[in-house]
This record gives sequence, C-alpha cells and structure tokens, in this order.
Amino acid sequence: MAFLPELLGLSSDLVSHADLSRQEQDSRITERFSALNRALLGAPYYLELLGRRGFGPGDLEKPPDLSHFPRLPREVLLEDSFRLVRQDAGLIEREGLVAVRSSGSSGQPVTVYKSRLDCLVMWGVLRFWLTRQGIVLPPRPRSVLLCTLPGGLEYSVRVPVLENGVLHRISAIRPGVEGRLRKANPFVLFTNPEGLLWLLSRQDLVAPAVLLSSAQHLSPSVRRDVMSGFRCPVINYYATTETGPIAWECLLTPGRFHVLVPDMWVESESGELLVTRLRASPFLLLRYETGDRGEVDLEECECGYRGLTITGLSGRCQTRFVNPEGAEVDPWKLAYLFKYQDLRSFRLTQTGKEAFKLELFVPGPPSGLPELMRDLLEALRRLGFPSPVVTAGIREGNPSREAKFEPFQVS
Amino acid sequence: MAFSIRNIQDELARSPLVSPYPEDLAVAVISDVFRRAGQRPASLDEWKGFRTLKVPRLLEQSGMLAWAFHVSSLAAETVARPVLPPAGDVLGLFFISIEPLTAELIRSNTFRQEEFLRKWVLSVGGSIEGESPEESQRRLSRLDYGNALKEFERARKARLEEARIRREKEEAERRAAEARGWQE
Repeated sequence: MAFLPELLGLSSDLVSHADLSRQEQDSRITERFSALNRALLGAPYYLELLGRRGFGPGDLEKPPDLSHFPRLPREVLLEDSFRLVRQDAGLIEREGLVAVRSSGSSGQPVTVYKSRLDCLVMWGVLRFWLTRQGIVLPPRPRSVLLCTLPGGLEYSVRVPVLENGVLHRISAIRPGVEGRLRKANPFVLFTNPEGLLWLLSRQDLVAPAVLLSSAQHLSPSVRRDVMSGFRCPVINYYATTETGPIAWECLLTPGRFHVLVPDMWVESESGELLVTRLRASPFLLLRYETGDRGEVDLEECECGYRGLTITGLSGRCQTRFVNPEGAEVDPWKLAYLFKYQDLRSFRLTQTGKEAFKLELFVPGPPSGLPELMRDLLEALRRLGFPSPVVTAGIREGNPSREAKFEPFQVS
Repeated sequence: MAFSIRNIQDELARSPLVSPYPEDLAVAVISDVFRRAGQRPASLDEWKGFRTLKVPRLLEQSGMLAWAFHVSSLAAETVARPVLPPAGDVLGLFFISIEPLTAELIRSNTFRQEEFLRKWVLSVGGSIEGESPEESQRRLSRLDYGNALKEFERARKARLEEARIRREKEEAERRAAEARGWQE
C-alpha cells in the first residue's frame, strides 16, 4: 500500500525516540540535520541565500549550529514559496506536489507545497499518539472530522493508510448532524475547541477512543471536562498548514507541548517560536517564523517523553465576538472567507452589537469585494448576528507587525 | 595544550573588528607571536613568496589572523606549543589552506570563523580540546569552504539544467496541444 511503510516508519521513529539514550538521540538528530543541510542546496531560495552568506552543506550538524542559520520569514512564503521547493531532477514529478493555501492565522494566507506523503503525515502522527496511549486500532476504523466552520463542507474518503479506514467530514452547522455523527460512530474524532464544547452537551452521541483538538487555544477546564465526559484522551496538538503537526500538549501536565522530535525541531528566539522540519520533504522549512510565541526546553517529562517541550505557547488567537444574544462566537470561523482573496492581510473588528469594521490590506486594486461582503454578511448571520453591518476600508501595503498580527479583534 | 575553539570564538565575539588591520601592523602582530614562541618570524622575502602562492586575499586574511591574535587566546595558545614549526612553513600552509575565505566571511559567519581557526591549529600542529584527531579532521572536512563552493557550483548548474529541461518539456507539451487543436 502506497506510503504505509513510510508512515509506519515515521510513527515508530517518534515512538522509539523517547527510549533512546541522550547520545543516540543526538546521533539521530545529527543525521537529520546533516541530511537537511545537504537538501537545502536543492531549493533555489537556499542555494542563493546560503551561497551569498558563506554557508556550506556541512555546517549544520548539531542543534547549537542551527541558531547561526538565517530565519525564514513568512514574507518569503508570501512572495514566492515555490523557491523553497527542492528542484532536484525528477523530484517534483516523483513526489506529486500539490499547492495548499494556509488558513491565514496571521491574516496573511500563504501558499505552501506538499508532497503526497506530506499530506498523509497526520495519519502517521496519529498512530504515534495512539501507540503512546496504548490504543489499538481496530480493522477499518472510522474517523470523523467534526467541522464547525460556516461553510458546511462535508465529504467521505477512504483512508487506506489507517487500517483501511474511512474519514467522514461532518459539518456541525448542517441539519441532521447528530444523526450522521451517531451513524458514523467514530473511533477517532478530530475537531477544535468549539466542536468539543458542542460535543459536551451531546455526550450520548459518540464514544470515540480518542479525541483530537487543534487550531485554537483549548482551555484546561474544557479538556478536563471532555476527557471525563467521554472517558477518552483528548490530544490537543499544535500544527500549522506550513509545517504540519509540530507538538502535542502533555496529557499529564497541561500547558506543556512536547515537540514531535525527530520530525520537527523548535527553537525559541526572543520568545518567538521557529520551526525546522527535520523529516525529509520537498518543501524546505528552516527556522520558519511561525509568529507564535513560547519558550523551549529540553526536558524529561513525567509522562515519559524526553526531548523538546514548549511552554507558554501563545499566539493562537483567543479573541471572541459576542452576538446579540450574549453568546461568544469564535471569529476564526470566518477566516476561510479570506483565504482565496488577493490580500496581504485583513482585520475584522467588532465595534458594536452587530457592527463590524473590516480592513483589507491589498497589494493593488481589489477585486471580488462585493462577493466577499455578501459572503461575510451571510456567515455573520449564521453565527447569530441577524442584521450585521460591516464597514470596509481598503489599504495598500502591509499592516505594522510588531507581534503576531491579530486579524480578529473586539474594540 | 589543546586549543579551545569555543573559547576563542567567544573571545572574538566579545571584541568585534571595528576596522581592518593595515598590512604592516598585521605582519608585526603575527611576527611577534612567532618571536614569543622562540621562532624566527617570516622574512620579508617569505611574505613576498606568500603572494605568489595564489592567495589573492593575503592582505585581508593576515589582517584577520592578527585580529584573532590580538583579541583572543589564540596567540597565547600558539606560543604555548612545545614545538612550533618555522614561521614560513606555518604561514604558507595556512594561507593556502584558508583560500577562498574572505575577511567578511571570517568576521560574520561563525562556521567560516571556526574553519579559519581550525586551519590555524592544524598549521601549527596543534589539537582541539575535547576531540580526537579523527574527530577534528572530520569536522574540518565538513566545514571546508572550498569544497562547499564546488558543491554550490554543481547545484547551481544542476538547477539551471533542470529549469532548461522543464522549459523544453512545457514547450513540447504546448506544441503538442496546439497540434492536436489543429487536427481536431
């Protein structure tokens, strides 16, 4: 089965890493750093940059070496992310690259390129988490992605790499969701904090073996309630579209995110998290500026993990709009509307009960604005604002970015 | 006594180079180190000879060596060598080995600075603290900028060739598509 050996290898590397001695861990990391250093010469961006700044293909060997290498700003991905793709002979065709747009969690969606294996990595990481929890996959397990976005997209796909299972994407905003969810009876359920809260009030619907949450801040109290309500682990993971999964929150000590070493490496420089992908991929990310903040330490956790741990992770937006009924609404549900607009950035601020100010930072004359406004008003209505009023302003150029730019605000 | 590359690099980082060393001053600082070690410094003829060794950056490289001697323990550790080979031999070997490192690379790139220092240690027959000779040799081989430039050149040519092949392929596909349109 295509990619199954690679995903099993990925999972087993993650599992075994914690059991290795410090010396063995260092040796494995050195191998990955060395391979990455050589691979960098395949990407036009790094070939030019490293050549100009006097770096060589043997310089990156140990973790301290990394701090001397240039950081990768998000702006490079905005300008032309294809330059970060390894262009060795035949590699692009062999890997079957696809272009993927990020959600724009900083207000600036970027295009990244993924190989077929990159697109499946999450299933390998899921196997790792299940192994750690002692959960054994049944044959043909059903997974559900419970989606709370206003778009209401639904689909079902086979997942051959997870014991010939199936994945159903089920929208929480479409009628009949409870019936579809009950029928799906998932073994694995992916969602976000909003979905977890939705599930909390419907505990008899499903009995998954594991719940996974991502994309937003998950409060320890919600996680505790969900874990005791569903009697299963809730894995809260930190991921970005650009990098894939990076770390997961310790199940014993909330607030500590264990990095998926040896696939990923994370540094904190002046409090900003920089991510390096150590797993071989055609799309090279070296010290990528995530815009998220936190501190990174090497630790031995009581959960058995030994390696890099992120503490004080922030930057994931925790802003909430409040609708006229007084209910808190997650504004990130609107982010998808801006994903395919030709924008440098955007900011939507709730200025009154149903009043919003939209600022669009554009590279040139905007197009598609009437359609965007129509879709935004419709999405706001679905979020519980019956008569929303949006005033839009257009600006050329970029917003100032002292810290991670917050596209959703409440004034 | 073994050379501590990490300490020397820390010392260099604490005393950044503010202006280049003039040639006369650089020669004087370097000569002084050999005198302190009980060795005759390189003669003027030997310095002239270095210029014929295909080391076009001799002036800036000797300036950087003088700076490293001046602000770090590199000079003291060199002087402390039990046996220091003749200055002409050491410097000739060193300047050839560090080509094509520029002063700017030695100043601003920590890996090139490490390479510069390790090659000095090798030239004076020294050893690196905490490393076996094999480990030092392996590290130096990884850091060698001359090899790196060759690798970069190979990669550049490969990228250009791949881009040319891709363009030709796209062009061929476009022509094939147009031909199909004509036939239909």
